[in-house]
Amino acid sequence: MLYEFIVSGIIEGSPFSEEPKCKGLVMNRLTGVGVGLVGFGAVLAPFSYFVLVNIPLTTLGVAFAILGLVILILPEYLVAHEVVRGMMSGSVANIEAVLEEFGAAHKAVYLPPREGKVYAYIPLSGNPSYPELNHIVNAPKRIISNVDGHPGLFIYPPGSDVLVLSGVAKDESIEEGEQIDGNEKPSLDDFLPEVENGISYCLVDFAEIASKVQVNLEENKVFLGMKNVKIEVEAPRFTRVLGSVPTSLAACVIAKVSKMPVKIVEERREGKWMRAVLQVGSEDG
Amino acid sequence: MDRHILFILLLAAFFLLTVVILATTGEARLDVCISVFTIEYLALVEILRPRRRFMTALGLDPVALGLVIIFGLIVTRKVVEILVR
Repeated sequence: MLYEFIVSGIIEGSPFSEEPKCKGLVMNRLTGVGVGLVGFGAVLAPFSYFVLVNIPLTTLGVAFAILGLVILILPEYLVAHEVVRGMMSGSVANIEAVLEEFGAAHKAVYLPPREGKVYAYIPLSGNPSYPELNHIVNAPKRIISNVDGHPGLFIYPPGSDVLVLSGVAKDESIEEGEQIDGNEKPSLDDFLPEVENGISYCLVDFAEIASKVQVNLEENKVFLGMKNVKIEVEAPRFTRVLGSVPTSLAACVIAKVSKMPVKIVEERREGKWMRAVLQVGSEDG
Repeated sequence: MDRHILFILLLAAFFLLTVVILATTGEARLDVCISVFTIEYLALVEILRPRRRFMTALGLDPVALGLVIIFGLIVTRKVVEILVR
């Protein structure tokens, strides 16, 4: 009751004020507990150390503060990994049906996010060649689009939503008319840690579809290793065009982080490991 | 049980147990307690892998980074003490 009184004061300026001064700030119960623990620990630890000269009480204060901080850094809304996997499976089934309908058979190109989501260009069967990447990025967003005389499908792969949900894709997107570095050699040192962290977070921590991830970069290729892949979806055409679900998710992360187009070159299983090679940028890169 | 709730419960239990054990053994060094807290925290994070809202470029969350820095300072101070002695 007292806590609600205090919190309502923080949120609305004064508990008695009729008009909230800060409507956007919402403090959930867990955040309140975290703040309370940090505050209590921050008072108890120095008081016990300097005034009472009592080390056990000081350590108890430190423990409270750490526990409070831990609660504060946990995500406010937790999306269960079963929900993420279910969402991905549903999305794969829908995309499989669309690919079957259009007879798509050529490898997709994962493109950097526009309007916040990574998307993929799939050339249609009759025309296996790929148009210039900048033209693909700036093509009108329709399910079927003609880019420089190359008809192709534009779809949102299941990984694009997972990226948004996980919070990995919260940076800026490619703007309308902006040029992407399709022909530029990616600088490995620049984005290797971010790519590795992003893929590891999405696949291992968030979606829980692999137990371990290894990422190596060589020239314009990403060598990806995923251990104990836990998602198996029966979608042969999806796998042929967009890669397996975990590799597709990894491709989305790379496209988002590097802001360059990504293509899955090959995938194979080696015991518990699934290995994939992804090409970043253009082929001549 | 959700692993995030389990993480918080286990961390609280471990911290409480640490404080009780160190208090009963008469341990009066604060750095020992903080070192044990750091190890417990990092071990639990590795085992349960909870999702965290903020991550630093080093792949550590801010709490882990802070604890590792304090742990590093404690170890450095001890090493310097031993070398100077």
